[in-house]
Amino acid sequence: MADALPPLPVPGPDNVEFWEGCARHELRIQRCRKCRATRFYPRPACPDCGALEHEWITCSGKGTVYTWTVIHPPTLPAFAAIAPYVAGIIQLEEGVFMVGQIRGVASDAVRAGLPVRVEFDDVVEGIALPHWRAA
Amino acid sequence: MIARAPVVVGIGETPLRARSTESEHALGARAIRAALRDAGLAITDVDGVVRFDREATWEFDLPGWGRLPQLGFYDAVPRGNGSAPALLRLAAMAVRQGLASVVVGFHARNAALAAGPGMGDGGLRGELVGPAQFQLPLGVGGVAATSALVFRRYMLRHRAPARALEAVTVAARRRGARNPRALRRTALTAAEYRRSALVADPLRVADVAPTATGAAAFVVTSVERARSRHRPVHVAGSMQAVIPSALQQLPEWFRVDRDRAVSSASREMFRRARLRPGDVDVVLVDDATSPLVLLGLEDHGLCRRGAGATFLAAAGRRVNPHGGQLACGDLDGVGQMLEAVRQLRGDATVQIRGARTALVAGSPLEPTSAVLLRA
Repeated sequence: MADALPPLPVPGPDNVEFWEGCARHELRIQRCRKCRATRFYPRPACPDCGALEHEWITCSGKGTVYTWTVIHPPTLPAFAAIAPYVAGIIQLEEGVFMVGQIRGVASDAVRAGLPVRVEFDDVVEGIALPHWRAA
Repeated sequence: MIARAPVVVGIGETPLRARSTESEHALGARAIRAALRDAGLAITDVDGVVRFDREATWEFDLPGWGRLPQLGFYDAVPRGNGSAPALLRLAAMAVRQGLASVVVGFHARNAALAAGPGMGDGGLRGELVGPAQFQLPLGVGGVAATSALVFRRYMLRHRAPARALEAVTVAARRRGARNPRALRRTALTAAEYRRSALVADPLRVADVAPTATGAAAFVVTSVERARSRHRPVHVAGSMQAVIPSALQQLPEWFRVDRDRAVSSASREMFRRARLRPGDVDVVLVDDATSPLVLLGLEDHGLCRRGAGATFLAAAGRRVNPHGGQLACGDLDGVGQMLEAVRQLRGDATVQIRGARTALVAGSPLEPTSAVLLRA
């Protein structure tokens, strides 16, 4: 069922650390060494202070729903089997936003502030995708 | 400097359709020829050209290119609804600076060449190298789902009801029903709207503008050179504002303070043009999806934040009088500029009587732009 695979990320030098973390089921983000601001998606320079020096930290994997939608067909073939599905933006404990599916909650019961926890789908060798489940 | 004040003297387009067997090259050539004919100019008068960065037709593909004495100004803006007004801004800037005397701007699109449903245009593979790799693999992509996530936040912040979208879309379709150019030419009742299938809750199929196949072009020159049979339309002001693309950089898009990033640039546009939002007679605001109308009106100070629906109910047909892209089809935002020019010439199909000032506002979902036009 190769056609049922989601579109896969193409890791590059600025974000391979994130995807390698996901493969180990660890959620990794960058933190600026100068101003201590966390950031996501991964980038070489701090969007707040511009510094290049940064470190990677492992997130708690906990967050809350910031916004959400229910996605209906037609979708890409990979998502047809699960549609309609809830997806949204999660605000992590570390302050950054991430996109993902929101599972374990009825589509009419999702609300802003709902606590969620990360879970990983192992899709192919070396690639795991982070999604969210009601905590 | 007054003599070089930039004016739109020609517009041209092919019909906007759901699909076509014509290539983007062919569509583009037809629109460019039509715009030059409309301006009363020949290809040999052209010495500047602007286009989107991703475009099938390149500068040396212009119809009649071989007879051009010179083509000394060419440039591009990012393809998409956010930067459509920036195309006109760029052409106007070239004329005002004396870098070119007659500039053609154009865009052609054949939807059959675009990628799969819901995931937007062109190379999905290419997007997966960039920041979109943090949303597309997770099943979040395309303008409908993105707009839904944005509008849910809007609902929470302003206590707006989901039915605000129904009002936007039903009004657009009512106006579009009077426009023979419209792709969706039928009015939509509230009951029909509610039967329209959900695509990304609360957005329904009717809330998403149909992708158009076709081409549009315009010609900008200086007021001293303008001698077309039409009333010249002045480019009185313009703005651009960099914000992240919600289609590519959602996690960052939500961090943006829109008053600082967008509205301040819009206020500067009005100030330089010596106009105020209250002077605008007709608004062409991007409606690739219905909620974007509310964001656009608010970004440009036509009403305060959260009051877009109220403003729309009062302003009625002065906003997207032709039915917008929700009715006419979406040519990456470029069709909206042509409608603004028709309104200020006074020969629009659904004419706002006496319209002298028009605002064309690009999509608020991505790096955005706007132009102020004056008859």
